[in-house]
Amino acid sequence: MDDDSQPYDEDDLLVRARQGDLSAFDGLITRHREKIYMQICFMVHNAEDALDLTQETFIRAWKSLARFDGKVPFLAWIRRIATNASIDLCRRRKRRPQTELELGPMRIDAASRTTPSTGEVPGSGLDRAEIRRRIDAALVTLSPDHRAIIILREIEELSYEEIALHLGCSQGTVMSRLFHARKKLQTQLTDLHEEF
Amino acid sequence: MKNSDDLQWNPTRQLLREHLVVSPPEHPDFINSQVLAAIRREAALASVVPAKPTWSLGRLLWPGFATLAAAVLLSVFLLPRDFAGRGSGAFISQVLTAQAMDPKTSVTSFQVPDEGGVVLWIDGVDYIPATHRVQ
Amino acid sequence: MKRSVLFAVILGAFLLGTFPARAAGDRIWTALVLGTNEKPPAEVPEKLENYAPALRKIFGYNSFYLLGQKKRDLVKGNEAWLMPTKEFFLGVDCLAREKTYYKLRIELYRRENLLVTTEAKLARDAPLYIRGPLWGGGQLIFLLVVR
Repeated sequence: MDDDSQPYDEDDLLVRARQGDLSAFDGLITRHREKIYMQICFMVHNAEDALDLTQETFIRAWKSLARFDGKVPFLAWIRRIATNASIDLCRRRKRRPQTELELGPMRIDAASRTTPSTGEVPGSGLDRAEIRRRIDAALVTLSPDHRAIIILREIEELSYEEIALHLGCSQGTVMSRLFHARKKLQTQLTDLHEEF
Repeated sequence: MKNSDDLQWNPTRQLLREHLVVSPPEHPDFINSQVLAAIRREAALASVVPAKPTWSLGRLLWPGFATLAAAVLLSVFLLPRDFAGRGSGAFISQVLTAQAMDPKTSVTSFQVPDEGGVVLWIDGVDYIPATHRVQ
Repeated sequence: MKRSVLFAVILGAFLLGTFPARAAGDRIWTALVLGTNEKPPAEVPEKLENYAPALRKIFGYNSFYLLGQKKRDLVKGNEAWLMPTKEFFLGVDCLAREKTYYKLRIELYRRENLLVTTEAKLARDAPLYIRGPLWGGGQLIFLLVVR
């Protein structure tokens, strides 16, 4: 987790990590792993893939540490690696994402065409699950880049400037993509917030 | 214009924030251990210095042909032809040992000969109510 | 020189083709399946189609649902943690690789509790089925397959 009250700790960890100190890098992982994991979860909609990608992100970061020049915060740099890894996975995927993260008591592979009729799932749980499925389905229709921007802006609440840093593009590109992504999501989810 | 766009977007934004929730990882230290293990593994591989070749390509030619002949003989006479074949005892799965950690739990195993598979049958693990999430 | 290179390439290709292909690309696939009895029986998920007959025969259920799955490379000496779900996960340690099977140590955890530990020989496409606890109206079944 970020600890803004001790900024020099992170600088110290970075210096030592860049010199090959694995225990210092371990400290950096501990600081940022949850944020990175949760960011990736939002992108890839699968906890197991998110765990793998989180690890891959930190491994890539270790390999690229010599190239980190400190012009952006370390977290922003790591987030960019995570976002790129997530986008790569989303592009490689051909199947629909498994909605495993938050669906209520019974969570079924999205590939299943039917659901079990146990009658034991509370009605309110099903409603939330259905809303979540609709949201996930809508997010899937976005391109990986647009999805990343929606997540970074609407969920992670980053500024346009921060998003531009994470994605390695201009703020204008961020705002344009955000506009189109919002329009698309709005069209697909308007009935949801009117109904519920 | 921009304000009305924002007003139109706000309900959808609320929907996303309310329903797109993610729990932090169950075993966060697992991430650290896996990453560090991978880094150490790659470092170990990278530190292996390849031996300098003491033979030129020309010198390897005749030993190469001899190896080729030996490989052909091995493949013809010793190696199994059909790895995926059934009906041979070598191609089925098997449980060698099994142990339950809880005294209330018992575990037995048996073969499923037609499919070549094997079953580990666990008894005594607590029933999980339907309302409890397993994912 | 060119002929030497050509001979070396042919030799290498022959040697690679001679030995079983199992050395490269073997992975272990694990899945958490829910078995239930329903009228009419539910459609079998595509990924379980190959295993449905055995599942029906062994466990007696007519409907199956795929709750989670995971694939990992099988590398001797490496431990792979396969977490089909948050509640249950499997640790698979590849102890040995033989001609026709992998020798594995498998640990089934429920959260932080180790339920069962087993050593098994797993041949390719010959699954290990683990009967788990009852959940709601059905049965949890773990499936491990080397592919």
